[in-house]
Amino acid sequence: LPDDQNQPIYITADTAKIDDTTGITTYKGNVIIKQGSLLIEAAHVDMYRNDDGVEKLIAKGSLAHFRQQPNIGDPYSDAWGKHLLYHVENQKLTITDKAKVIQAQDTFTGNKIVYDLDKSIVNAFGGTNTDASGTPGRVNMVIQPKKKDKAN
Amino acid sequence: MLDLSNKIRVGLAAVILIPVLLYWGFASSPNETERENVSLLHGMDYFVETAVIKEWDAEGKLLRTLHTDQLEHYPNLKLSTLDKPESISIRKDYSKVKITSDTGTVLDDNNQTNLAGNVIVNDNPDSTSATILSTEQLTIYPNRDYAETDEPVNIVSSQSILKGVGMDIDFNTRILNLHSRVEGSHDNAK
Repeated sequence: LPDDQNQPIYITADTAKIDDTTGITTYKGNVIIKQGSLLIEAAHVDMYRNDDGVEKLIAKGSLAHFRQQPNIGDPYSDAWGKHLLYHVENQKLTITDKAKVIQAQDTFTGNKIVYDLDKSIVNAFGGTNTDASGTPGRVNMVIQPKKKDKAN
Repeated sequence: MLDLSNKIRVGLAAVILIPVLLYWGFASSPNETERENVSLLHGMDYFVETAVIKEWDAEGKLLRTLHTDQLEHYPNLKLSTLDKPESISIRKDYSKVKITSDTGTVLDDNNQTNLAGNVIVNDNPDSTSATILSTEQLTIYPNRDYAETDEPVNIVSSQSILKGVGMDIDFNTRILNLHSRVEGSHDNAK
């Protein structure tokens, strides 16, 4: 939701390491992070704090998972990847390594996806690493046909 | 000059008295057993009320000040007990760490301090961005500037609250590890 970024961030995890000098707190083990409608689930999360609060979160996992409801009444958007970077300030989610986003039934996959949470814009990138057949990574999109309103 | 009879008399007196004196000097009489100093065996040998103990480093810089309502020293246990101790340590960057608790014990070799009851660790007590850690028991290793506990811990700072069970902290590198069951909330309102 638009106001998610101003909500408190709640975290549960198995362990935590707080480094007061760098401002980085590392959570490990079944990490669950909630902020309003936003949810992050990962094996490892590095939280970067500055004087204004939480600046960014880096989530890693066999696949880390991100979920958020863009607007009230909208379906949830889900994202997966081995490496998620959630920038709280500019509300951008960068997914790398097995990136996948499902937004309102449309599916995007690629090597890297940058998801603008404010505008709900998905930028997917194939990336340079090649797949088994030697062709560079590809972006795949599955856009579901939108049902026409019965009125028109 | 003593004439002969006197000499005999003195000799006789000596013969009689010397054993008695020796007996009296060395042997204890039956009812006088060596009284065990029970208070020393288990008890304290000295106490200090309203004690203030300061520690400086080799260059004369104040490292640590300990206040306690009552310090009791137990020689056979090689430790001192503290009542309502308050310790203020000064780091290399001159920031402070203030630690208070209901009770504590300090080993004579100062290698270990155990605090119990309402243990509060206040990191940077003089600043607005202080971090306050509270637990029920804490073991401190002053020479390593390191502390640990297996008890539940609560950490409150200006923007976050963190809880966990079991913790260790290095006061110099300012790295704290929560060992299990971590729960946290960070205020992110702009």
